[in-house]
Amino acid sequence: MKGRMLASVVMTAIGASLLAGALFASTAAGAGAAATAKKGGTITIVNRSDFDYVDPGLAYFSHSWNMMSAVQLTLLYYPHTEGAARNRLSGMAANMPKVSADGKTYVFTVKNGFRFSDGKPVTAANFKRAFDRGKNASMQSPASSFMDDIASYTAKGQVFTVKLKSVAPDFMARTTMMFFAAVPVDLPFTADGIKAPVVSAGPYYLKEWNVKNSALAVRNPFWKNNQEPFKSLGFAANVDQIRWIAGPDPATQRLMCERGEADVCGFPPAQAKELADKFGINKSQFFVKKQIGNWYLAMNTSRGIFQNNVKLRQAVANAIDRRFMVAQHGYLGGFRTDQFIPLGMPGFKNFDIYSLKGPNYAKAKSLAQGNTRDGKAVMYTYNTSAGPPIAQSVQFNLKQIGVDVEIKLFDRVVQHEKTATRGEPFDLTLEGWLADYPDPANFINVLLDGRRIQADNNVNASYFNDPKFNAQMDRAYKLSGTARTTAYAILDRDIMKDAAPVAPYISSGARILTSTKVGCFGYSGSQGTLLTQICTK
Amino acid sequence: MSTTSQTTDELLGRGLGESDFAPDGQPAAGGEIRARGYWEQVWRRFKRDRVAIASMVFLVLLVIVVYPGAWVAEKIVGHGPNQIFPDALDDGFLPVGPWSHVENYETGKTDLLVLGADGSLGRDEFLRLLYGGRVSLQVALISTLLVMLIGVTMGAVAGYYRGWADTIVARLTEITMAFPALLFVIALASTAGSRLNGITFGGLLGEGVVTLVLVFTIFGWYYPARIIRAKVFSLREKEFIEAALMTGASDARIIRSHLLPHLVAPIIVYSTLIVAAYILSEAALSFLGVGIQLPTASWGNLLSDAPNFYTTVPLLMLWPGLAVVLTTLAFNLLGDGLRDAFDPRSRL
Repeated sequence: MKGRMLASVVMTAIGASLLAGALFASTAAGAGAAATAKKGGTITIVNRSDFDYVDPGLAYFSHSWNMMSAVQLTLLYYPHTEGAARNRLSGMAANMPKVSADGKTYVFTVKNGFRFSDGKPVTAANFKRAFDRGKNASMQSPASSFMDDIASYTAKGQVFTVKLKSVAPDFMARTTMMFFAAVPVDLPFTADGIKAPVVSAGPYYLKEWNVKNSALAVRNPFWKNNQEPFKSLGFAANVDQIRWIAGPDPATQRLMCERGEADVCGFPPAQAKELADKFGINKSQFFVKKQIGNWYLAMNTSRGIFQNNVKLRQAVANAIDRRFMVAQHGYLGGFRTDQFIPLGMPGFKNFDIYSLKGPNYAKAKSLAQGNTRDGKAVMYTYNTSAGPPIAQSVQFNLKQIGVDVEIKLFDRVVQHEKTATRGEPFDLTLEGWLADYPDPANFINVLLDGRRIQADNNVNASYFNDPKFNAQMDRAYKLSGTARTTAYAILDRDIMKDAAPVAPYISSGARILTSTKVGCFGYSGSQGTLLTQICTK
Repeated sequence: MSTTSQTTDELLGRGLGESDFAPDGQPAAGGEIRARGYWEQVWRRFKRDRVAIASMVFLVLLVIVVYPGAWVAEKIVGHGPNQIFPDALDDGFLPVGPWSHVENYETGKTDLLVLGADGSLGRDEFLRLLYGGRVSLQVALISTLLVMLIGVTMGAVAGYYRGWADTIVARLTEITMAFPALLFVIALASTAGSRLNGITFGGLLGEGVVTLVLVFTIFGWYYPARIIRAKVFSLREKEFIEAALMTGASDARIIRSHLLPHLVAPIIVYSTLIVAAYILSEAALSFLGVGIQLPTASWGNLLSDAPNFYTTVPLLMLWPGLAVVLTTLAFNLLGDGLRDAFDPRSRL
């Protein structure tokens, strides 16, 4: 979901942790949930960064999608719950579609009864409009890269039909993305996106958005939780209002939660151990949850010292100190990795590609020798939490192989806007990605297929575009089941080893601090805090 | 006499001190009556202020500690201030405390971290404090020097010549005041920032010092200019200036020899105030990506990193905080002492 784990980081507090995985996984579901959910009240969530957009056609930050999970209505969805049930793709606005024998035509029938927050009924035309906006050139929506294989789509009454050019095993999963949520049929095509109030058809709608400051979601008056078609979706929608505050740094966020000024907060990574000791894990206010995401160092293959320079990219992958970089995420921050597909994602298979224990300077130096060009690289990173120390760690490591790194710090939103623009003069950038849906293509194809690169809103931060691997991605994409996951596992290994456009270092997990006011708390590895389930005491 | 705090020297007038007189108040027999110069009087008054002397000694020691001292310390401990020690974190990824020994992977030896590690990067807090002091002092002192140089010159010219000169300076001041400083800083960072940051005069200054000095100077000169202008405006009407004019003294001489000595007190006081302010401002601007570049240490960035550890390793706030407080205090106390020495009437 929202790709950019963005701000997350830190930012939201939400950072994360797959932690000794199973250990906490067993206690994950419903951890911290109160026996009885109290209805009403306001929950305040504090993030370091604001939403990138509130327009579902453009937003792609993790915390933007987290907000949208409470306000938008998609054709299909992953149930807002923890545990195995979370992974069962289910019908939301529509029932599961009828699929033609050749696997290329999907027919969705939109259920009657859903209404937008302005009272207008939801029909197939609302989803068609979302698809139109995704494809519209002036929007420059990230959605366009998920629509390449769509041949046509039509809306007639409550029936929405999509025809694909070729079989796409992940198509249904793609319809859960917020890009394709129902929008008013007259919602304009605009590169800047719509502003609040946002008319939407989910259990809440965004009533206010004070850019870079705060936002407020209130109940959709037409959402009837105790009757169909709403009831079967399982949204408790306990609270009356959800408020977001943007800006406070992690240390301030922690104080806000401890003082009761906010309810879901981040904190400095360095304080994770202290909080774990103070509150226990998954017991009261400190939660450690599984997350399907990673952080990596993207090397810009379209310019500078990494362009057509595989050996130097491999040298970087050897030189970075993954153990130390993971340490910057703090206690229970995640697991070291050298692979792009994160732990927990189908298609993950453990390969021994680069050293996870520390830098391998000997190998890195031999690869870098004669390939460092002018020996200067500009690295972009976010300016809070783990961003600066990780950049300094990379700077220190690369200096040992003859590359001087100049670090440029930005607000996470600004960093993303810059690196998402083709031609931006950077060589390295610190990036994170949280799964949009549980399929390895969401990492490999979405982030590394160079044919998806456009002028703006790119998520392929390394601007990697290799025809050989593009073709392999196409082949893997058409497979299903074990053949698919195996193909992606091998592709992951080969790209990391032979091309190294990115240097992954952590399969991340989530750590969340809540106030004493929070009664029920749930978390999804790809969606974040389950806003439709949260409640006050 | 008992109603003032003036010293005997001051009440006896210029040139004559207690030692020049016999117990009966008459000039000492056979003693040569020697007139004391202005600076000699200043020094005599200043050296009686023990607090000011202590502050000056502290600042001199500080300069010794952060310049040759930092270099010596680096040689003794065997690593630099930017050396990363992965082992300098405990199981909870928190920095180790004072007097810790950690493995140096580059040399294979065990190194001592006198004040422990500086944060999650495990660098030597002690060395970074010393080198950070070097950078912070460079920023603060050079900025102050330039700000006062430009500000005093502009203010003196505006106040003395009035008319068109005053108008030009006043308009320049207003333009500078009205200019969105933060916008300028961000624009500077994204355009010439990287080039300016790289100017170190052969390593004499830290990376980014020049950028900060430039920013502080551009947006700092008008404060002292306004103060000095107002002061000169009033001094300009005094009899001693008229007398100087009548003797044919040039404008430059009047400004330099007759006006400037009267401006020493406000200059000193304002300088000591902004030195401390610039030390703190350095941290804020570095956060915006302007100025001190990572991994260069400064007291400002040591302070800005420390809150992440305020609950677990509060000493990380203490060291740079103490350095800033003591240095600021020393500058202020020194400033007080100098003001009193230059202008004893201000103590009345």
